[in-house]
Amino acid sequence: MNDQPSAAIEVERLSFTYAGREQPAVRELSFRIRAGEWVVLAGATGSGKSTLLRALAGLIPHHSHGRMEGSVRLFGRDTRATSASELASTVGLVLQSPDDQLTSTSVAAEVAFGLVNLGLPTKEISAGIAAALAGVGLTQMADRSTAELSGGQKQRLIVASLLAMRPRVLLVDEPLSQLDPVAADELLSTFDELRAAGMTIVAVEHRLDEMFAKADRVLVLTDGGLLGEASPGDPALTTLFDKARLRLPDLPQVMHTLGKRPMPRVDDALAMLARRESRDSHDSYSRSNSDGAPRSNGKVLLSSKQLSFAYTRRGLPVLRDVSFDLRDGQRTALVGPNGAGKSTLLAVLAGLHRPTAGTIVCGDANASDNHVARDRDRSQRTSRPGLVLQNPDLMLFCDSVRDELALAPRERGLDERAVDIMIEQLAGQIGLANELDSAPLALSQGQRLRVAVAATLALDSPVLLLDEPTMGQDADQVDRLFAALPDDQIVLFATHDVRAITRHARRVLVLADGVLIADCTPAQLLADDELLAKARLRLPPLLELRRRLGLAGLTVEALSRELES
Amino acid sequence: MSAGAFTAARGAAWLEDLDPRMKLCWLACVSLLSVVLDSVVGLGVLCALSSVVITGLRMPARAWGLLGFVLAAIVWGTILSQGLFYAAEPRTTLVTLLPPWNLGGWQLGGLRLYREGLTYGLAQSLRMIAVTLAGLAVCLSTTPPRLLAALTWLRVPSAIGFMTVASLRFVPLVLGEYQTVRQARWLRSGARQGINTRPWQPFAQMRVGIALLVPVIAAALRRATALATSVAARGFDPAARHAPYPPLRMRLAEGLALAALLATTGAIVAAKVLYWLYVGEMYYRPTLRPLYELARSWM
Repeated sequence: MNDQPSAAIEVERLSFTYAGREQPAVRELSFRIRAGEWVVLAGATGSGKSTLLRALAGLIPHHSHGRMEGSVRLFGRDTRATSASELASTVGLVLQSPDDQLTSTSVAAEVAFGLVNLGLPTKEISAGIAAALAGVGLTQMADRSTAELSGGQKQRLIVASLLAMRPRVLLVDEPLSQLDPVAADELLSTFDELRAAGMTIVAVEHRLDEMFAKADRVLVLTDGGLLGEASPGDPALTTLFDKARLRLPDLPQVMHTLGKRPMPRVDDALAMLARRESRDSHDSYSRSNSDGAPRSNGKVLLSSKQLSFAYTRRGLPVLRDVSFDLRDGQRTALVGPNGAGKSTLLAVLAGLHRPTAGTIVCGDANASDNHVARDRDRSQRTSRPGLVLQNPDLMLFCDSVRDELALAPRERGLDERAVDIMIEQLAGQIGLANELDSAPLALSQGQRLRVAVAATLALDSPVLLLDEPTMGQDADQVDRLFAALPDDQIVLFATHDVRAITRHARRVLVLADGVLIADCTPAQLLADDELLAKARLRLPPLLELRRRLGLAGLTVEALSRELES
Repeated sequence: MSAGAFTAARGAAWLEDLDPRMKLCWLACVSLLSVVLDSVVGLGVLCALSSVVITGLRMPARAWGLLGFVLAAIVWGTILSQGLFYAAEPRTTLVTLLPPWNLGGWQLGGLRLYREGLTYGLAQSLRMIAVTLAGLAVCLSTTPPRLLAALTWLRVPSAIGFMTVASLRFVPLVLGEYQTVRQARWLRSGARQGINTRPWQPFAQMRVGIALLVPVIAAALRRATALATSVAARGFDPAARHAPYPPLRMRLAEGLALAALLATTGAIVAAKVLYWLYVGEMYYRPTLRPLYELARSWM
């Protein structure tokens, strides 16, 4: 017997204005989502996606100050008239950062949290924990500490803690943004299984390439209103994205450029293109990319020779005999699985740790002894590479963007006139000229990253190191950041983002267990399945299509041209 | 679900395996006794018991060394300051460090070390050490889920219990972020200690030092907001009362030990109260004279 209404979510003329604000964050929204449907909410920053998710979860109006008009009904029940615990057993909410959501230090206790809140008896709680962990493939981890889990496992643990409460709707707010490609795949597979079991999924996500391949429908929001809706392969979606100034995922974009339906799945796109996969596609693809290791004739500006490092005197080495040169103007991606030593390598190169063996030469100076524990002379600071940490927010501590950019040149002893000129130049270059008097932490996520980068460029170091600059950023922000960097700036960036590698790197260093296992071009990396697996990378749909058709282009533009010809 | 799911992940030493309610009672008793006791001997015994209990904790040698250094600094600082600046009477001079002298018509009293001051300082430091060790023993040997269950069992309101446990989880994260900000400060310009190193500009130093807290506080607020959203979405109601989970089971030996602890603490407190009433001339019984003597000499 199935007495469920067909609509899982019904939103009627929903508007919400936060307390102290005049403009509503969402306005006059009306739509229905069927039970078992997977819907993606797309929209630019500030379009109201997260507010809408909070309203769907019942946190608005129960836990938010502001004025709500209209209604949200979950399976026919108005969220206003439903208690918080009843809502919690109907709808679950997964947020961006798993670390920020964990309430406990034990896996089982984390899952128990919601069940205890429901006031269930002990036996039911224990049974619920076991079932929920089995549902996300974490049964073996039940006895572990949450600190032992990877980012992907933590996110699945949050999902398990919600599943234990048996919700029928799962709301996810950028759940992939902090995950590497393999962990993101695992989480999406979990969502897939849940949807197959009848769960309704509503997702906000910047990584649309992966999400579009799974979703049934996309709702496009702009300025708090609903611009329209379409299925991922519907040409109408292209128009909606244009109007909302959003970037289509790469594969649909190529299909649209070719005048085809913007199919997000590779199999559908292949069928649509009516091109057969060449039997020897992989061979020709590999041959086309076997052009040897990347070559550059520029001057060597950063050299790492036999670099080794361990955190403690008797501890296992985190880096072992890492040797490479970076030349003038070269942009290089540093890839590898979590724990491979990428962040440690960047920290050692920047002087946050003293190498246990080996040498670092930056410019013409030996930088091996210029590290945080020893550096006394700030005038020597430019002989080290500049590093932007994984969380750029922790690098911003001045009152205004102007002060952030002025910090390094002032402390180097530049006169105020020279400092002003430098600030204007950097701000213009990085697209922050209109934000010089803004408080850095009040800016958008992409802008905050650019402030941290500009403040590091102000060190005037020949080498810029970026630790996971793509983490939590949408593709446009990443493109804007790299476009803003000077052409002659050497950049070494650690990343898991294959799209960023193909668009912004000419060379790739692959690190595994602290050892440099490959030094190649992006195309060579993509041609080598073993290397991709070792680096825990996955081909996004566009590059999967490229591989299956044996094409050579790496970007949307190049592949579109190749397919047109 | 195995019981191991909620016990310490580091491998259970005996202290980690102890019922958390008993550990909280231990902390409460030590705190109460450190206020009630005045005798250096009595406080010394309390301190020794706290020291024995904390040895049930598994910590690296470096952490033990750091703890020893901090405690020694507390003892030294408290004894010395009380010994030098003890103002109550009577006081007995042990050593005269500086004799009284005349400075431009001003008569200065000199600097002396007083016996009563040293004794008072020793008692104060023993109080601090006993409570510090008991608190550390409880916090470091109890996983947050078991601590929350014990607080729930003790009828501590959910909001306070949850905040206590959440803060235990987030303190290391916040300290780690502060360390990262200090590193970032060095990366941004080369200032070694994360603050402006111009000693002739103390206000500038202070301003930059405070500024370094801004990103840490901002990150903590962001994390707190996310956590609040997440727990609200999971039906957390600070006004609700729930049964403790994981279920707590006290072993017979633990129950007996707890009864002995509570009885001993109660007896000591009762003896001291009777002694205070006697000293305050409010209540006196000749039959209680041995008890008064015991309290005066040892408590």
